[in-house]
Amino acid sequence: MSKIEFISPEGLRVDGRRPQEVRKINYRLNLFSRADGSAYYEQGNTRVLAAVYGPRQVTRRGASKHDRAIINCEYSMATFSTGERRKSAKRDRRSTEISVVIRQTFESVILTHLYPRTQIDIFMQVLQADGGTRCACINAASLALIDAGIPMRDFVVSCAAGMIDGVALTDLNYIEDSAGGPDLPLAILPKQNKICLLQMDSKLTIEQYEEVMQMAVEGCKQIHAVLDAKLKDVTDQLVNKRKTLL
Amino acid sequence: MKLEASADVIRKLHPLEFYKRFLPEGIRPDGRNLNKPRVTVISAGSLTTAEGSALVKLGSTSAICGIKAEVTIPADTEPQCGKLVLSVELPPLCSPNIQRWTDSVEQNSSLEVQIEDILLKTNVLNLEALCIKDSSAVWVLYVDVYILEHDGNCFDAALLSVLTALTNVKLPEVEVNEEQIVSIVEGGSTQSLELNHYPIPLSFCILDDKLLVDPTSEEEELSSTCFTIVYNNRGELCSLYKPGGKHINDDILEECKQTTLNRTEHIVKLMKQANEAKK
Amino acid sequence: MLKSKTFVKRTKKGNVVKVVKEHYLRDDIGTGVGTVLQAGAECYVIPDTNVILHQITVMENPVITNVIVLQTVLDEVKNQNASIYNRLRALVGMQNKHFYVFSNEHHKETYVERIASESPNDRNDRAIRVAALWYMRKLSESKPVLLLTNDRANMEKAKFEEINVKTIQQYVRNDMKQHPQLLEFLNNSDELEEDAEVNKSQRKTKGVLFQEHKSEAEIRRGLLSKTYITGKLIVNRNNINEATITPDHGDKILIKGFENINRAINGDIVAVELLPRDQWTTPSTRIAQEQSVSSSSKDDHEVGDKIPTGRVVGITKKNWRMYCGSLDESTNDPKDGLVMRVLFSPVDRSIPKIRISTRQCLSLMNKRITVSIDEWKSDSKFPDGHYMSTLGDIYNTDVESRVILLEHDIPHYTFSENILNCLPQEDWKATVPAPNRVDLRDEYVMSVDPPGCTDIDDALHCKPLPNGNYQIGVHIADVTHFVHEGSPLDDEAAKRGTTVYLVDRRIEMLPKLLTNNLCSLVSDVDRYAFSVIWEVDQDAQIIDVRFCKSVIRSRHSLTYEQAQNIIDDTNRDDLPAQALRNLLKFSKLIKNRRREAGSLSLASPQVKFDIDRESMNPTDVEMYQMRETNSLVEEYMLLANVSVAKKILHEFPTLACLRGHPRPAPEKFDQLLKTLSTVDVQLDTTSSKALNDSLNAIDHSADEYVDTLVRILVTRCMEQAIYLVSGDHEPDAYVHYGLAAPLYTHFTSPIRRYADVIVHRLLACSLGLYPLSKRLTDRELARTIVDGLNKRNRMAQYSERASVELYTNTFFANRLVECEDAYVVRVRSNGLILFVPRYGFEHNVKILEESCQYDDAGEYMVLRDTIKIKTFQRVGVKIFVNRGKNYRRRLVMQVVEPDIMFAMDTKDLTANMLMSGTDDDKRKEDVTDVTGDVTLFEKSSDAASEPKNKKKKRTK
Repeated sequence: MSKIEFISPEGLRVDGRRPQEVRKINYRLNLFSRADGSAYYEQGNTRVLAAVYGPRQVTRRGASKHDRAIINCEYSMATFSTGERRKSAKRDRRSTEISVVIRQTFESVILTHLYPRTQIDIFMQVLQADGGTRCACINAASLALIDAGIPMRDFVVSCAAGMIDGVALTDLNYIEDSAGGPDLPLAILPKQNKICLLQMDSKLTIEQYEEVMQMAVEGCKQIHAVLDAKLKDVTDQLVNKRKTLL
Repeated sequence: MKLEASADVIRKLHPLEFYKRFLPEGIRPDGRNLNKPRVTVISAGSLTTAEGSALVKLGSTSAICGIKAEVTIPADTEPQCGKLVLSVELPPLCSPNIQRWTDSVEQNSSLEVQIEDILLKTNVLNLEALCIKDSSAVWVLYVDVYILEHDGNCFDAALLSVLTALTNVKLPEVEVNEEQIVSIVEGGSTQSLELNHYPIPLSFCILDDKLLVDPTSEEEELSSTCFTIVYNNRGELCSLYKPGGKHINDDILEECKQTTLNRTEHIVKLMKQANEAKK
Repeated sequence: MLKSKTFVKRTKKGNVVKVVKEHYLRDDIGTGVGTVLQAGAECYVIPDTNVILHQITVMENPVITNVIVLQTVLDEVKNQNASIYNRLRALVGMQNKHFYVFSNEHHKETYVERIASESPNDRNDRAIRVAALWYMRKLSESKPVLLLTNDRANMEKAKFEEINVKTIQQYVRNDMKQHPQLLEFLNNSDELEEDAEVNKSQRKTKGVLFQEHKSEAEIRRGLLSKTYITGKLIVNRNNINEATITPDHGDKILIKGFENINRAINGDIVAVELLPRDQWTTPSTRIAQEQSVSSSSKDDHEVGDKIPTGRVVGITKKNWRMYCGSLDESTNDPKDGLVMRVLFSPVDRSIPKIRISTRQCLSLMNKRITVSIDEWKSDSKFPDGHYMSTLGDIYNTDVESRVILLEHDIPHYTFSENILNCLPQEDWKATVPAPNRVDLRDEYVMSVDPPGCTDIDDALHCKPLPNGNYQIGVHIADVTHFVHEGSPLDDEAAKRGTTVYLVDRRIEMLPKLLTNNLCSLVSDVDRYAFSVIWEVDQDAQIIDVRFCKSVIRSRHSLTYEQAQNIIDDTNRDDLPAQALRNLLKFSKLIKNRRREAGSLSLASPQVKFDIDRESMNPTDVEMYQMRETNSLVEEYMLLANVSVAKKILHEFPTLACLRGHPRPAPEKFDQLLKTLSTVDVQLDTTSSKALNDSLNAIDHSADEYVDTLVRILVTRCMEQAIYLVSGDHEPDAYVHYGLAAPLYTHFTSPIRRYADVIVHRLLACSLGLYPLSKRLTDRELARTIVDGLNKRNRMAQYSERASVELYTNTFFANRLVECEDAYVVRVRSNGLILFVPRYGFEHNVKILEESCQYDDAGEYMVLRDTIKIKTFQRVGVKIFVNRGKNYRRRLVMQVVEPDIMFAMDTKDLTANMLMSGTDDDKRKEDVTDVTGDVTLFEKSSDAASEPKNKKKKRTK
């Protein structure tokens, strides 16, 4: 039985991380000139793009809300993003589900009441998938919204955690994700310490659940620290530029 | 309200008027000369999940192309020919004007057909080179282009990304057994594709009777006609495409051909550099 | 730091998948010195992959400590040999060995990238050298780091890079001079030439005996193109030069002759090439014999029986293990102190002799030793191996019992520290009230067991209810209260699978503290239990059943005899007597109903030995005796198991662990029916009920024992009962044929069977007392566990039989039985198969063919025209033990009444006794068909009876 050893007795995962470590994160803001906000986000080998358009005129008449902006999210994976070529690039059921989940996440965070009768579009394109695309997209969207200057209650950060062979692991990559263990994507508002998205669709005991949940929260906090630090740098640079311009 | 303070407003409300202030001066709102293409950036091999990939930026227009290879059975009529399947997508992410996937269907299809025609009819790639075993196994290359930002002249960006990605393709070494089962040789070498020639495109538009090279999307919308000329690195004309619009004179066309021809060398160099850099 | 690893592979569908993996490099991995490695060690040794693969026995020696196992090495070992990997992992887990795994592949400073011109092997060798250098730099000069490699190229490169490097031989001979015992374990097959003075002088260059094995790639290609066929090699135990493989698809392939077997060893996965059709042949020995026995007319189409024949071209997976045996008895002039190359002959007759070098040849003579194979060169008739350990004197029952355990791969070491750490305190007391536990201490609970039983896993109570019905409770030791899922204790129990009962010992599944104390439902102590409680009416029809975790206090721990006496004592009418009588009454009703449904009552011979405490030699043998109360307890255990099976299957339709007993294939009865027809016994085998009815209808007025004999023979036609996971099978497969139960499981003996532990957890889940964990819901895991349990059970049965055989042989080694009753089970053209009821074994007697007339129908044989011997006839036999070659003891039987000594091949006795193994083995294999559930006489019990017999045996 040559099963993959997902976590070595030395405590290292298949890719050399320790259970509580998230992958390497890198991102860039303001990628596109035509979008109101955009971000490129890398978490390990998972690479996504997000673009935000809006607030703008509501396209579908009747969908408009008199007291707030409506949010529209689209998640899609490129055909070449996975190891095996994906047949349909556009809207399959999974993408739709993820789109809805992300939309609902942001509906609760964006201060939509400030923009009545408008629409905010968030488009996410997965260029390369290595597990955790859902969470990566939320992080990318969050950054793109910040880039677009759309007011939010808090920074949304997301991270998944799972459990393999009884060990809780944060930020699963594709191989770990395919191990068939439980997978728990979580999105939190780190400053307010609130949960805005939690999905868990496998059976876990309460003790295990708490352990995995703890891992996911830790992951979110690590990611937040990285994103926040870089964001401050970027903002400082912008401010400095502004100063020199003035 | 002061009028002069809001150039942006004029641009939004009277775009043509706005342009008419610039063009006679021989300069465009983005600071370019009329005959100057945007800064072209080509990079290759950035997507590790694909067998070949490339990212091409023309100013802010950017196209990413990924190529995945699969093994398939060749058609009976062409037992030695591999296949090439092309798709071009303009996701809603790429432009404020495209709000849904369905909004870009027409554009997708025409780009696909144009590029496919150039690749296949001018024989850029020997499909025989994709043959693994006569009449039993060939490679099929799925070439997928995503326009990440659409700021005019998608065609050039898309075609360049496809060419660069093709040169970037690395096929694994395979062997075929008596049962016609293809298997990948573990630790085997990889095979690159040889392109017969590089068809390099350049697009133009006529705006206010002025000829603009490499138009932005704003210019495309205002223009009376757009057209594309493709020359390859051997100086052969590969394609001329002018879908309707205002008539143009032969001499303009001649001038454009020359501009295109002059550009090919530079672009081919960029492509090669991109691929070298990855090695 | 981040590296990306990319590789491509193809999926089954044919699509190409490009796999991209991240590879993180770290700087927080330490040298391990001071934590795992001892700070004051003289030297830290870094072995390369081949050193581990070839010299694992040296590595396992206690004097080898402070070894750095590189991740590169570990991964390579894992890919190449899972069993050595597990042994290496075990070494790493031992605290006193100080083996440290250095994750060099994930260390920033020791990771190396493969260069284009480099083969993966070269890259790994380089990675090993880089890691060795890193260690040399990290640790100061005073602590030398030594790289061990037997690869010349690697060694030269290492020397060039100024790494301290040696071969394993140099290391053992020079550095470890103070431990000469290591030399015994050293595998010198891969020794570099300049070091190989010792071997070179002794090895004569011989002609090539075998064809070279094909390379891995060639085999892979051959398998893909179907020119080669792969399968597990099964060597004929009676003829080591004949083997078969049974491929997944297609017919059995015969491999004849040792050149064609081409150095493959029993159990290896081999690639076989078919020979041209004209070279196909028939399997030899037994089948040929059978044919000549069954009917002469069959000889004609024997030609048509030629089966595909092939030869081994390569071995894809070696099944080499450690073998028990002895030095060849005929070894000339054994001496100590001198390196001698001698032959080792394994106990397992399907394994070839192995050549070993030893310095202690004389001391090893007449000893049981263990040896492992290192390699089998193409110019050598025998595989080369090396000595591993000495078990003790040959024929010593203790030593031979250990041989049985080792040969059947039964884990029998003492429980390790971390397992014992999972145990509760010795003075653990049941707390009452306990959450989710029903207090049943007021019930009058009793246990009935064999005398001296210490691991009581079941107890009963029975009381009348106000409405005229009765309440019956079965209480089973709550083992899962102590054995937590996923703990080392649980893993170990799952690995052992079952308690193994040999004649003189039992190898327990759980530590003594649990089996004999905390779990055991002894009287007058509060104990946790898992209870099944029925309400039954006067006719023993079940009105209601419920399950609960409980706390009970047993009033009496009775023996079967005591319980029987209480029932029979007409003067007693107290609570226990009433309860027992009611229990007995209901059990008879339930049993009758079971009979009606078609539950079989079969027989298999079971004996017990009286063992002399000092010599551990058997002094007497007798058949096991049954009482009414035995079947009383069993009946309720069966009922409890059935009730639990229904419950867990209802709650978890795909996850239930059940025990199924497939109905035997009709052709299994063919031979038996034919034999029986010669003595006018008709059996209806259409259903278990029909079979049972026809068994009961047998006329045994002539000889009472015929009935038992037929039942024994029927038992051998049965399939093996197996554990199964319900989701993997169609509901048809759940059926327990022998018990005529549509559903059955094991619930009542969690102390000694792991299946019961799983069932306990499932039942607890279904009651909401226990969370349905990942492990329970993982069907893949469940399947591996269940497969493991079935294998362990089979092995336990084999070893139990081997143990009985050992004791039978030992028993007869010291005495000669002049005349004992035996029954003819079958008549063959060249012999008789006899069964001896007194000792419960079967044996064959060879008859010289020229002196007898043999009846074609297999009914009788006539000797010297006067003496007629027919099936089921009683004869008198003389029994003694004869010594065969290489310390093999053989039981010999001669018919003395009627006196047919003239027809016995006396001169042949010594030589031929070896051949008689044919039928000896036949018996062994036949017996293995016994389900293990359906056992002795009246008891078609699954649950309690069989092992309890053993408890009795043991406790004598």
